[in-house]
Amino acid sequence: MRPLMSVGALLATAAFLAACSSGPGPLGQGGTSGQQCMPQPEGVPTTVGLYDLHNSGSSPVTVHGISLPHDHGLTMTSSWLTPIYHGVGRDLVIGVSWPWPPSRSTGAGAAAVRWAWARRKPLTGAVIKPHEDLNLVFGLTRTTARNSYSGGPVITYSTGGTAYTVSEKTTLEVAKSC
Amino acid sequence: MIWKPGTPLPKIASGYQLVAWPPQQVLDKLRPGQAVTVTTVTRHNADTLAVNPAGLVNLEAESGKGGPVCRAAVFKKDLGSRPATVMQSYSYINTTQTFTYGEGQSTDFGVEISVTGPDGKFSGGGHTSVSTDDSQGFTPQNGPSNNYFQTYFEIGKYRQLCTNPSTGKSYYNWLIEPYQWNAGTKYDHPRYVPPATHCTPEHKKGDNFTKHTTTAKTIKAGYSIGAISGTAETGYSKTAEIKFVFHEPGVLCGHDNTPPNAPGFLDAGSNIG
Repeated sequence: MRPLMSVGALLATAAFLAACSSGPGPLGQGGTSGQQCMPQPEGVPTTVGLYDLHNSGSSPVTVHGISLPHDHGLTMTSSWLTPIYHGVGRDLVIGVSWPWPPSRSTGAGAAAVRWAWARRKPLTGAVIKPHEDLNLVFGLTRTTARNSYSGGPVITYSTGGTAYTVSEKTTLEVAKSC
Repeated sequence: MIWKPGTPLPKIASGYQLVAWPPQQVLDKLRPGQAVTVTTVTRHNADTLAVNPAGLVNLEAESGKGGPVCRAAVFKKDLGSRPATVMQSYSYINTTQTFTYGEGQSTDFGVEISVTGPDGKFSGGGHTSVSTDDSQGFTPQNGPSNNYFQTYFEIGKYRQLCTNPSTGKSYYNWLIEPYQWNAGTKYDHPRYVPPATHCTPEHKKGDNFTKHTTTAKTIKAGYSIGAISGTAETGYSKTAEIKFVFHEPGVLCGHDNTPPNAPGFLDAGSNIG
């Protein structure tokens, strides 16, 4: 016998669907298509701080979660949001290929990375204020001997009672050699 | 203006009408003196218009009631094959920049118009799109280098007879525009680097970033005929790509946004943040 959904569950599902939007929300459409490749040994995590989440709306955005679609041979750490470092004449996100966690970064530019990382907040539940830019940062580990790939991260969020997703269009590769 | 069938038609002011120019595969068969047959665009025939290899249609807004009335343009002269810049990228550190102008890629050019004769003063007045029907690879550019990646287009001069209804006077519109892709490569290495201030560190030797140019920044002097120059902007498809391979740690910067979000050119430099 086919299980029946309760009236309450039906109403809850309907309310959830009514609150979802398929159109682009205030975090935009995920940029334009491209690929980032990072050379990294198997089993050693590397930092991905590539994506700038910009709230173009007039209301705060609350981030609910993240996933890596179509991933092959990759594991992801927890995700964080950090501020953008405003240097002399340019703005810097954390960037890619630093050691994970980024607090271990050394060399040119590492001071800006450590500054931003010290101000991180967990992605889930984080609020992005109107017109604010925050940098999405996570660690990525290649778990196979082969080159590993994924689509760009998919981020779920809500604002003003409406739920959205943004799929970043820059895909990721972690390889023995790019 | 450029239009992709399946998307909404461009909005135009009342009193104007849209006409579609034939695709480049028709234009490149015209001989001097032959008229360009345009099609008046309606909601009903829009999806049946002939498209260029990238699936695009070149539209022109013609003034209707009260405005100048222009007859079909006549192809007057082939101005020859000229290089046009279809991508720009910059690096002042040790990277390799590789550009591919892929099959079906489209570049949007400014149309230059003169109302003061064939050798008069030309200025920008509309856009036309020319698309590739094959792929063109460019030699990778190694080390610090500023690059205008160029390929060749055939440029045509057209003449339109127009009448101003309020004065009854007739005059000629002279148009200069690229109409056919000829392939081939050429490189220019500009000294000036436009500002790019939204940067992503690429910390490790061997990091690389590839950008598909779905949208690009307009290059002001994209093509030139003597003192006349028109704009160029490559975009509309995913078949053109620029790739930066970092042979030393550095940063990759976009003009108005970080590389994943940046339309237009990218600039690689040292990480001094």
